[in-house]
Amino acid sequence: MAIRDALLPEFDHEMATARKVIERVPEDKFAYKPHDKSMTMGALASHIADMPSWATVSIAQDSLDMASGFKPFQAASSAELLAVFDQNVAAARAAIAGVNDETLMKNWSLKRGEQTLMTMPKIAVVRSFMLNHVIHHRGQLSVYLRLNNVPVPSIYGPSADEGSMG
Amino acid sequence: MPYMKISDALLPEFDHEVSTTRKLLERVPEDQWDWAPHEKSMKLGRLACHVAELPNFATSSAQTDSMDFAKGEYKTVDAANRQQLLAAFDKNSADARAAIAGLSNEDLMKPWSLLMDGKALMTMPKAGVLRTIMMNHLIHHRGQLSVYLRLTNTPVPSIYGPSADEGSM
Repeated sequence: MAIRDALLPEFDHEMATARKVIERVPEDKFAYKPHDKSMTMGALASHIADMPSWATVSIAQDSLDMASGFKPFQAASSAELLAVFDQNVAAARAAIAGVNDETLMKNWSLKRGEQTLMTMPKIAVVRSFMLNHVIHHRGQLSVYLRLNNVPVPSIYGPSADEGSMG
Repeated sequence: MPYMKISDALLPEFDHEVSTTRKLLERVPEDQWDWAPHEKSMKLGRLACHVAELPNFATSSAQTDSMDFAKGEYKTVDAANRQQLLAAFDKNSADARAAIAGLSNEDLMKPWSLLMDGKALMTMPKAGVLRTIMMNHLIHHRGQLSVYLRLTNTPVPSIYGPSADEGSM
Protein backbone atom coordinates (compact mmCIF):
# COMPACT_ATOMS: atom_id res chain seq x y z
CA MET A 1 0.00 0.00 0.00
CA ALA A 2 1.37 3.39 -0.96
CA ILE A 3 1.60 5.89 1.89
CA ARG A 4 -0.67 8.30 0.00
CA ASP A 5 -3.46 5.70 -0.06
CA ALA A 6 -3.37 5.45 3.73
CA LEU A 7 -3.09 9.20 4.15
CA LEU A 8 -5.82 10.45 1.81
CA PRO A 9 -8.92 9.12 3.62
CA GLU A 10 -7.60 10.55 6.89
CA PHE A 11 -6.76 13.87 5.20
CA ASP A 12 -10.27 14.06 3.70
CA HIS A 13 -11.90 13.24 7.02
CA GLU A 14 -9.91 15.75 9.07
CA MET A 15 -10.27 18.53 6.50
CA ALA A 16 -14.03 17.99 6.32
CA THR A 17 -14.21 18.35 10.11
CA ALA A 18 -11.93 21.40 10.01
CA ARG A 19 -14.27 23.02 7.49
CA LYS A 20 -17.27 22.40 9.74
CA VAL A 21 -15.46 24.21 12.53
CA ILE A 22 -14.23 27.21 10.51
CA GLU A 23 -17.62 27.60 8.80
CA ARG A 24 -19.05 28.50 12.18
CA VAL A 25 -16.62 31.29 13.05
CA PRO A 26 -18.87 34.35 13.28
CA GLU A 27 -17.60 37.07 10.97
CA ASP A 28 -18.36 39.74 13.57
CA LYS A 29 -16.13 37.91 16.06
CA PHE A 30 -12.92 37.80 13.99
CA ALA A 31 -11.32 40.22 16.46
CA TYR A 32 -12.36 38.22 19.54
CA LYS A 33 -9.65 36.68 21.68
CA PRO A 34 -10.13 34.83 24.95
CA HIS A 35 -6.99 36.27 26.59
CA ASP A 36 -4.59 39.16 25.94
CA LYS A 37 -1.89 36.74 24.84
CA SER A 38 -4.16 34.67 22.58
CA MET A 39 -4.48 34.84 18.81
CA THR A 40 -7.68 36.47 17.62
CA MET A 41 -10.34 34.10 16.34
CA GLY A 42 -9.88 35.45 12.79
CA ALA A 43 -6.12 34.88 12.92
CA LEU A 44 -6.57 31.38 14.37
CA ALA A 45 -9.08 30.37 11.69
CA SER A 46 -6.89 31.93 8.97
CA HIS A 47 -3.88 30.01 10.31
CA ILE A 48 -5.88 26.78 9.94
CA ALA A 49 -6.92 27.74 6.40
CA ASP A 50 -3.29 28.47 5.50
CA MET A 51 -1.90 25.24 6.81
CA PRO A 52 -2.83 22.65 4.18
CA SER A 53 -0.46 24.50 1.83
CA TRP A 54 2.44 23.09 3.89
CA ALA A 55 1.69 19.72 2.30
CA THR A 56 1.75 21.25 -1.18
CA VAL A 57 4.99 23.13 -0.59
CA SER A 58 6.78 20.25 1.09
CA ILE A 59 5.91 17.87 -1.73
CA ALA A 60 6.72 20.31 -4.57
CA GLN A 61 9.91 21.80 -3.12
CA ASP A 62 12.82 20.61 -0.98
CA SER A 63 12.82 23.67 1.27
CA LEU A 64 10.94 26.82 2.19
CA ASP A 65 12.72 30.05 3.01
CA MET A 66 10.76 32.07 5.54
CA ALA A 67 12.89 35.10 4.72
CA SER A 68 11.60 35.21 1.13
CA GLY A 69 8.29 36.94 1.60
CA PHE A 70 6.43 34.28 3.60
CA LYS A 71 3.30 36.02 4.86
CA PRO A 72 0.62 34.52 7.06
CA PHE A 73 -2.89 34.68 5.61
CA GLN A 74 -5.40 36.90 7.39
CA ALA A 75 -8.97 36.54 6.14
CA ALA A 76 -11.13 39.66 6.01
CA SER A 77 -14.41 37.74 5.74
CA SER A 78 -15.93 34.28 6.16
CA ALA A 79 -16.20 33.95 2.40
CA GLU A 80 -12.50 34.65 1.96
CA LEU A 81 -11.60 32.32 4.84
CA LEU A 82 -13.52 29.41 3.31
CA ALA A 83 -12.37 30.13 -0.24
CA VAL A 84 -8.70 30.08 0.80
CA PHE A 85 -9.20 26.96 2.92
CA ASP A 86 -10.94 25.13 0.05
CA GLN A 87 -8.29 26.16 -2.45
CA ASN A 88 -5.44 25.08 -0.14
CA VAL A 89 -7.14 21.77 0.69
CA ALA A 90 -7.73 20.99 -3.00
CA ALA A 91 -4.10 21.76 -3.90
CA ALA A 92 -2.79 19.72 -0.94
CA ARG A 93 -5.02 16.79 -1.85
CA ALA A 94 -3.78 16.80 -5.44
CA ALA A 95 -0.16 16.97 -4.24
CA ILE A 96 -0.63 14.03 -1.85
CA ALA A 97 -2.51 11.99 -4.45
CA GLY A 98 0.36 12.42 -6.90
CA VAL A 99 3.34 11.66 -4.65
CA ASN A 100 5.12 8.32 -4.32
CA ASP A 101 6.69 6.83 -1.18
CA GLU A 102 10.22 7.51 -2.38
CA THR A 103 9.59 11.26 -2.66
CA LEU A 104 7.83 11.31 0.72
CA MET A 105 10.97 9.87 2.34
CA LYS A 106 13.15 12.69 0.94
CA ASN A 107 14.17 15.48 3.26
CA TRP A 108 12.58 18.92 3.37
CA SER A 109 14.05 21.92 5.20
CA LEU A 110 12.62 25.04 6.72
CA LYS A 111 15.10 27.88 6.27
CA ARG A 112 15.53 31.51 7.12
CA GLY A 113 18.01 32.84 4.59
CA GLU A 114 21.14 30.73 4.97
CA GLN A 115 20.05 29.29 8.30
CA THR A 116 18.34 25.87 8.37
CA LEU A 117 15.70 25.84 11.11
CA MET A 118 14.72 22.18 10.72
CA THR A 119 15.02 19.25 8.35
CA MET A 120 12.72 16.24 8.23
CA PRO A 121 11.33 13.75 5.72
CA LYS A 122 8.49 15.15 3.60
CA ILE A 123 6.08 12.62 5.08
CA ALA A 124 6.80 14.03 8.55
CA VAL A 125 6.06 17.55 7.29
CA VAL A 126 2.72 16.36 5.95
CA ARG A 127 1.87 14.46 9.12
CA SER A 128 3.20 16.71 11.86
CA PHE A 129 3.45 20.21 10.43
CA MET A 130 0.31 20.00 8.39
CA LEU A 131 -2.19 17.45 9.68
CA ASN A 132 -1.41 17.31 13.42
CA HIS A 133 -0.91 21.05 13.44
CA VAL A 134 -4.35 21.68 11.87
CA ILE A 135 -5.93 19.33 14.42
CA HIS A 136 -4.19 21.16 17.27
CA HIS A 137 -5.42 24.61 16.26
CA ARG A 138 -8.86 23.26 15.32
CA GLY A 139 -9.07 22.02 18.94
CA GLN A 140 -8.22 25.51 20.16
CA LEU A 141 -10.80 27.03 17.83
CA SER A 142 -13.48 24.68 19.21
CA VAL A 143 -12.96 26.31 22.63
CA TYR A 144 -13.21 29.79 21.07
CA LEU A 145 -16.55 28.79 19.51
CA ARG A 146 -17.83 27.46 22.84
CA LEU A 147 -16.84 30.70 24.59
CA ASN A 148 -18.89 32.62 22.03
CA ASN A 149 -21.92 30.37 22.51
CA VAL A 150 -21.55 29.03 18.97
CA PRO A 151 -22.69 25.37 18.79
CA VAL A 152 -19.62 23.12 18.60
CA PRO A 153 -19.88 20.36 15.97
CA SER A 154 -19.10 16.75 16.75
CA ILE A 155 -15.35 16.29 16.19
CA TYR A 156 -14.15 12.87 17.42
CA GLY A 157 -17.29 12.24 19.40
CA PRO A 158 -20.35 14.19 20.49
CA SER A 159 -19.91 17.75 21.74
CA ALA A 160 -22.18 19.27 24.40
CA ASP A 161 -24.27 20.57 21.49
CA GLU A 162 -24.30 17.92 18.79
CA GLY A 163 -23.89 14.20 18.08
CA SER A 164 -24.55 11.15 20.22
CA MET A 165 -22.98 7.83 21.10
CA GLY A 166 -25.08 4.97 19.75
CA MET B 1 11.13 1.06 -1.69
CA PRO B 2 12.16 -1.46 0.93
CA TYR B 3 9.35 -2.90 3.07
CA MET B 4 8.65 -0.64 6.00
CA LYS B 5 6.82 -1.55 9.17
CA ILE B 6 4.02 0.97 9.72
CA SER B 7 4.73 0.90 13.47
CA ASP B 8 8.32 2.02 12.80
CA ALA B 9 6.99 5.09 11.01
CA LEU B 10 4.49 5.79 13.76
CA LEU B 11 6.66 5.41 16.85
CA PRO B 12 8.91 8.51 16.42
CA GLU B 13 5.79 10.63 15.90
CA PHE B 14 4.09 8.98 18.89
CA ASP B 15 7.15 9.66 21.08
CA HIS B 16 7.27 13.28 19.96
CA GLU B 17 3.58 13.93 20.59
CA VAL B 18 3.63 12.09 23.93
CA SER B 19 6.56 14.18 25.08
CA THR B 20 4.82 17.44 24.09
CA THR B 21 1.62 16.27 25.75
CA ARG B 22 3.43 15.51 28.99
CA LYS B 23 4.79 19.07 29.04
CA LEU B 24 1.21 20.39 29.09
CA LEU B 25 -0.04 17.89 31.66
CA GLU B 26 2.88 18.80 33.96
CA ARG B 27 1.52 22.35 34.05
CA VAL B 28 -2.13 21.70 34.83
CA PRO B 29 -2.70 23.86 37.93
CA GLU B 30 -3.92 21.65 40.77
CA ASP B 31 -5.86 24.46 42.40
CA GLN B 32 -7.92 24.91 39.21
CA TRP B 33 -8.91 21.26 38.73
CA ASP B 34 -12.62 22.14 38.67
CA TRP B 35 -12.24 25.27 36.56
CA ALA B 36 -14.13 25.35 33.26
CA PRO B 37 -14.16 28.18 30.70
CA HIS B 38 -17.91 27.78 30.02
CA GLU B 39 -20.78 25.95 31.68
CA LYS B 40 -20.95 23.47 28.79
CA SER B 41 -17.19 22.83 28.81
CA MET B 42 -15.32 19.96 30.40
CA LYS B 43 -13.55 20.93 33.59
CA LEU B 44 -9.80 21.37 33.43
CA GLY B 45 -9.08 18.24 35.50
CA ARG B 46 -11.48 16.11 33.43
CA LEU B 47 -10.01 17.35 30.13
CA ALA B 48 -6.48 16.56 31.34
CA CYS B 49 -7.62 13.10 32.50
CA HIS B 50 -9.27 12.50 29.13
CA VAL B 51 -5.99 13.30 27.37
CA ALA B 52 -4.25 10.81 29.69
CA GLU B 53 -6.82 8.12 28.78
CA LEU B 54 -6.47 8.33 25.03
CA PRO B 55 -3.25 6.28 24.59
CA ASN B 56 -5.36 3.31 25.82
CA PHE B 57 -6.97 3.07 22.39
CA ALA B 58 -3.62 1.87 21.01
CA THR B 59 -3.35 -0.76 23.73
CA SER B 60 -6.90 -1.93 23.10
CA SER B 61 -6.39 -2.19 19.36
CA ALA B 62 -3.31 -4.36 19.92
CA GLN B 63 -4.96 -6.64 22.48
CA THR B 64 -8.55 -6.99 21.25
CA ASP B 65 -10.78 -6.41 18.25
CA SER B 66 -13.27 -4.12 19.96
CA MET B 67 -14.04 -1.89 22.91
CA ASP B 68 -17.55 -1.80 24.37
CA PHE B 69 -18.43 1.44 26.17
CA ALA B 70 -21.45 -0.21 27.81
CA LYS B 71 -19.27 -2.93 29.37
CA GLY B 72 -16.79 -0.62 31.07
CA GLU B 73 -14.04 -1.46 28.60
CA TYR B 74 -13.13 2.20 28.19
CA LYS B 75 -10.85 2.77 31.17
CA THR B 76 -11.15 6.28 32.54
CA VAL B 77 -8.43 8.16 34.38
CA ASP B 78 -9.84 9.72 37.53
CA ALA B 79 -6.80 11.57 38.82
CA ALA B 80 -7.41 13.93 41.74
CA ASN B 81 -4.08 15.70 41.41
CA ARG B 82 -1.16 16.21 39.04
CA GLN B 83 0.93 13.38 40.44
CA GLN B 84 -1.85 10.86 39.78
CA LEU B 85 -2.47 12.41 36.36
CA LEU B 86 1.16 12.07 35.30
CA ALA B 87 1.45 8.54 36.71
CA ALA B 88 -1.61 7.47 34.71
CA PHE B 89 -0.40 9.18 31.55
CA ASP B 90 3.08 7.67 31.84
CA LYS B 91 1.69 4.18 32.36
CA ASN B 92 -0.89 4.47 29.58
CA SER B 93 1.59 5.89 27.09
CA ALA B 94 4.24 3.25 27.95
CA ASP B 95 1.65 0.48 27.47
CA ALA B 96 0.54 2.09 24.20
CA ARG B 97 4.11 2.32 22.93
CA ALA B 98 4.73 -1.38 23.63
CA ALA B 99 1.42 -2.22 21.97
CA ILE B 100 2.22 -0.22 18.83
CA ALA B 101 5.72 -1.74 18.59
CA GLY B 102 4.18 -5.21 18.63
CA LEU B 103 1.71 -4.64 15.79
CA SER B 104 2.65 -6.04 12.37
CA ASN B 105 1.37 -4.40 9.19
CA GLU B 106 -0.99 -7.36 8.81
CA ASP B 107 -2.41 -6.80 12.31
CA LEU B 108 -2.85 -3.11 11.52
CA MET B 109 -5.11 -3.87 8.57
CA LYS B 110 -7.49 -5.95 10.72
CA PRO B 111 -10.74 -4.31 11.79
CA TRP B 112 -11.43 -2.96 15.26
CA SER B 113 -14.83 -1.77 16.46
CA LEU B 114 -16.12 0.66 18.99
CA LEU B 115 -19.27 -0.85 20.49
CA MET B 116 -22.20 0.28 22.59
CA ASP B 117 -23.66 -2.82 24.22
CA GLY B 118 -22.62 -5.02 21.33
CA LYS B 119 -23.77 -2.63 18.61
CA ALA B 120 -20.96 -1.23 16.45
CA LEU B 121 -20.69 2.58 16.54
CA MET B 122 -17.78 2.43 14.13
CA THR B 123 -15.41 -0.11 12.62
CA MET B 124 -12.05 0.72 11.08
CA PRO B 125 -8.65 -0.88 10.47
CA LYS B 126 -6.46 -0.88 13.58
CA ALA B 127 -4.08 1.52 11.80
CA GLY B 128 -7.00 3.97 11.63
CA VAL B 129 -7.60 3.54 15.36
CA LEU B 130 -4.00 4.43 16.09
CA ARG B 131 -4.00 7.44 13.82
CA THR B 132 -7.43 8.90 14.32
CA ILE B 133 -8.99 7.71 17.59
CA MET B 134 -5.71 7.73 19.49
CA MET B 135 -3.24 10.25 18.02
CA ASN B 136 -5.43 12.87 16.30
CA HIS B 137 -7.99 12.74 19.08
CA LEU B 138 -5.26 13.33 21.66
CA ILE B 139 -3.82 16.27 19.69
CA HIS B 140 -7.32 17.77 19.45
CA HIS B 141 -7.94 17.73 23.21
CA ARG B 142 -4.36 18.81 23.92
CA GLY B 143 -5.10 21.86 21.73
CA GLN B 144 -8.16 22.60 23.86
CA LEU B 145 -6.07 22.12 27.00
CA SER B 146 -3.56 24.70 25.75
CA VAL B 147 -6.38 27.29 25.70
CA TYR B 148 -7.40 26.28 29.22
CA LEU B 149 -3.79 26.79 30.35
CA ARG B 150 -3.73 30.21 28.71
CA LEU B 151 -7.01 31.21 30.33
CA THR B 152 -5.73 30.19 33.77
CA ASN B 153 -2.58 32.27 33.18
CA THR B 154 -0.39 29.17 33.02
CA PRO B 155 2.58 29.57 30.65
CA VAL B 156 1.87 27.62 27.46
CA PRO B 157 4.81 25.54 26.18
CA SER B 158 5.91 25.56 22.55
CA ILE B 159 3.81 22.94 20.73
CA TYR B 160 4.29 23.07 16.94
CA GLY B 161 5.97 26.44 17.11
CA PRO B 162 6.54 29.15 19.71
CA SER B 163 3.70 30.12 22.05
CA ALA B 164 3.25 33.67 23.38
CA ASP B 165 5.28 32.54 26.40
CA GLU B 166 7.98 30.21 25.16
CA GLY B 167 10.09 29.14 22.20
CA SER B 168 11.33 30.94 19.12
CA MET B 169 11.79 30.25 15.42
